[in-house]
Amino acid sequence: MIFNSVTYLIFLTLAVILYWLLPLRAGRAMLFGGSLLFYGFWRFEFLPLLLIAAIVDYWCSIEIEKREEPKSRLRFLIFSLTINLGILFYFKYLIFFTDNVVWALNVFGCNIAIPHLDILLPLGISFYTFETISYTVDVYRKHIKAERNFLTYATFLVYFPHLIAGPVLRASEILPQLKTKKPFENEFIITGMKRLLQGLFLKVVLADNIAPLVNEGFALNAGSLSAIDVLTLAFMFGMQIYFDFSAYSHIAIGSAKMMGINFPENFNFPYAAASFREFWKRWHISLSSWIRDYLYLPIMKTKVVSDGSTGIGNVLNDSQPKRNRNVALFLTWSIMGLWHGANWTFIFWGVYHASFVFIERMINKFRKKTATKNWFKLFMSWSIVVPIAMLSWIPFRATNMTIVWEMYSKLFSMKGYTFLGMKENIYIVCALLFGLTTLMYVYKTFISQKVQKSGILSSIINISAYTVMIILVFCFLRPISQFIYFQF
Amino acid sequence: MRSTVKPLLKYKGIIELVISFILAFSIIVAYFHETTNFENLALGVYTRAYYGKINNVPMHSMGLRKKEEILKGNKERGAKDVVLLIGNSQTHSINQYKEGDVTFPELLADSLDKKSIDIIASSVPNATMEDFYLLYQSWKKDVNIKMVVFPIFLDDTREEGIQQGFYNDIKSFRIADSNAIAKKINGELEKMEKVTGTNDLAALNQTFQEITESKLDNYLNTHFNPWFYRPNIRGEFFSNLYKLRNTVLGIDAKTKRGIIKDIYEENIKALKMLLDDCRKSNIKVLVYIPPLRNDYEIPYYRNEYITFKKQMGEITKEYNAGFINIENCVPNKYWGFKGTRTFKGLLDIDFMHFQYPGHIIMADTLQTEIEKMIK
Repeated sequence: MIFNSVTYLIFLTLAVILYWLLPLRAGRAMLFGGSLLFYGFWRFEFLPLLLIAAIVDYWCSIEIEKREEPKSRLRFLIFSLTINLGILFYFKYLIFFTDNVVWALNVFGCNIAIPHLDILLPLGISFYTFETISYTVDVYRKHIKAERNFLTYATFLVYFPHLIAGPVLRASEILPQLKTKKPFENEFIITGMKRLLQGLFLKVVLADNIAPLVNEGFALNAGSLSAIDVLTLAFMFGMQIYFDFSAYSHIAIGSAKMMGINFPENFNFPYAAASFREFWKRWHISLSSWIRDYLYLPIMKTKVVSDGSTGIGNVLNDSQPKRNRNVALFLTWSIMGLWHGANWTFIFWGVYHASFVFIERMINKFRKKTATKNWFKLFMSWSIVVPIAMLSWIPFRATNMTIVWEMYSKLFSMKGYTFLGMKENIYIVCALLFGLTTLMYVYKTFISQKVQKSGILSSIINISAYTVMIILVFCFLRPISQFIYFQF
Repeated sequence: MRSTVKPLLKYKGIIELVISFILAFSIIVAYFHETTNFENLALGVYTRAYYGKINNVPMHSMGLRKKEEILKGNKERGAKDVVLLIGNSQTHSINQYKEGDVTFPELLADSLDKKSIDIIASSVPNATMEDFYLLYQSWKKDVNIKMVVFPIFLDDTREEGIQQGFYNDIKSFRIADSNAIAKKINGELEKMEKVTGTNDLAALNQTFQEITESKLDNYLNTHFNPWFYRPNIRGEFFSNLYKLRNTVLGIDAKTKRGIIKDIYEENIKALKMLLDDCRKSNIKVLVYIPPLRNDYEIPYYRNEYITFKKQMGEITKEYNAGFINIENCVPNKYWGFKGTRTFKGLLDIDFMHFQYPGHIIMADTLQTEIEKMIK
């Protein structure tokens, strides 16, 4: 089921009412059944895959917990990883893998035609696979106890607000909340509705209306674009994907909140970051912290002691062991890229970020000795980091590497800064949206708290903002496009 | 005092949300009850769309909207050979419209009727060359086209692909050809159906949710008026944004529009495919540089406009098509003004649409050229 639809609003209303009316166990069963229905509204035939993931990890984690002998525990962990990653590989990477193997064989003189594989990617597979893996790994690491009630575990995995596009949740965050039920509070509904409204506004009013402009720009022949066009398209897509994906997180967080269940925050004004470390503490926080805990730290052979969700940036400092550090960085980011999509463009996107994190580390060695924090320096860092981060969206959006190179090459030609190759509106919209996003950050960070203290003034601002948002969401609510992160 | 404020503060969030919902829905109910004619809104006050008829049967329509009726008319008139007029809003608009005024396609149809030639006209606002190609292919399938007549506006070479407003008329149409531009157009039509904002339920394509969402949408459309008027409000919203942009940036009809290289070249490709198909099908073509008022500085860069006209002459020559430049054929006195597209002032210069006498001149000019070519 798609969030930006009337069907979902009715479904959510019914789910929330039933959840609060039913006793704990019946409510949980309702959430499980409702979540399967939610998924089935897309395609019922992929429901067994979800259940396989739930059954395998439920069973494996109990078997792991039962055993003390490391080899035996490891055997079950490997079994779980093989099943989960095997399914993910088949559905998401087999076509990419086959194409590349055939291409490589043809380079070496074999004359093989690329086989046609018609494999449909099950919605949300990357997200629920990561969640179920992290659960089994946490049990293996003895960070959490294995859940003995299958329904509770399966409900955690398929719980509809996070099922399709995250946040990537940890069992330790959600299972305790599913096992007990908080007493009903008005605040749950109010906060939930506000988040839902914000999410719908970002998706149906902003992201969906930016999309045609971005599509138009990327449909143009890359060779005819100017450097200013490339930068504009990078900023435009950067904002589209931010509005789109953070909208999903807002709606997910809001929907869960209405049932008194807290999800961790997934975005925190990423384009306000003044460093790449900071960017990854602000963007898709749940994924970057997952990558840190289950990929980066194990590759570095660092013992994981925390499962906090504060982003990959946390471990990218000098206090970490230096062994394999750079290898781990590039490997992790390549996998992070590949997680987003089976294409070289995504791998390149990962390596691009790894390179800038690496450069930042090198610079930090020097910077630490001299740096004193001041606004000017922060501003200068921000004005360097943001365009570089925005330009990373080019491979994310372009269909192949040829286009990526062609677009990047424009940035290095002086002639590219002397003309415009797109319709004027796109530049205006880009400037307006970026200005608006920056203003929102300034308001939220520096003004909002002072205004909230002022009673009447804060109410006037809130009522005006909600009224405008309700009207616009009412006008624009149409399931015309999926959330971008559905494809991952 | 304190005792009444405290409980209010406790419910501050809920009170704010309830007031917002009441306010929003009051505004929605109060303002969402009218349908705007966006075609006339786009043309501006003082300019009206008019689609010609012969004996009260349509011979001209926006895109392919009245194709069936037009075909019926052609059949009733003896299925005569057709001169197909394709164009943009200039073909179907009359500045300072008065009762009884008609456009040049109808005037041409009257004059050429005696010569056993039927005129059929299709026009799309801001039409691209892809739109022209699509219109041509669609008519070619059903009538015997003897000649195609169309203008090339420098303005419209800034437009890309298939116009959104045209999409509903042709969504099920596909070009039965395998050439590059046909493939591109068919691909765009499929994409528009599946992906873009032209279909409100595009993201639900072939899912179970499509059924429920479509039923809910139909139910709300019938039982809740504001829901029905939502497309209208979206249109009004964008129209006002457009006005705001023009007001803030001082954009008006005189503002220069430059060529957008890639989009221009895509249009030229489609033009060449159209000319090539006509040549292969033995269909005569007349391309014209359309009338443009010259009592004000034109909204193009002079050098680009000169190059454009020269290039059009060369391309038409390459494909043995007729070419005339009639940019000065409508005297300045037969042009007019249109309603401003800003929040300032009332009127703006209309560089695109002329008055009825201009249509008479256009009809005479084109008639002479058409007769020369199909004598």
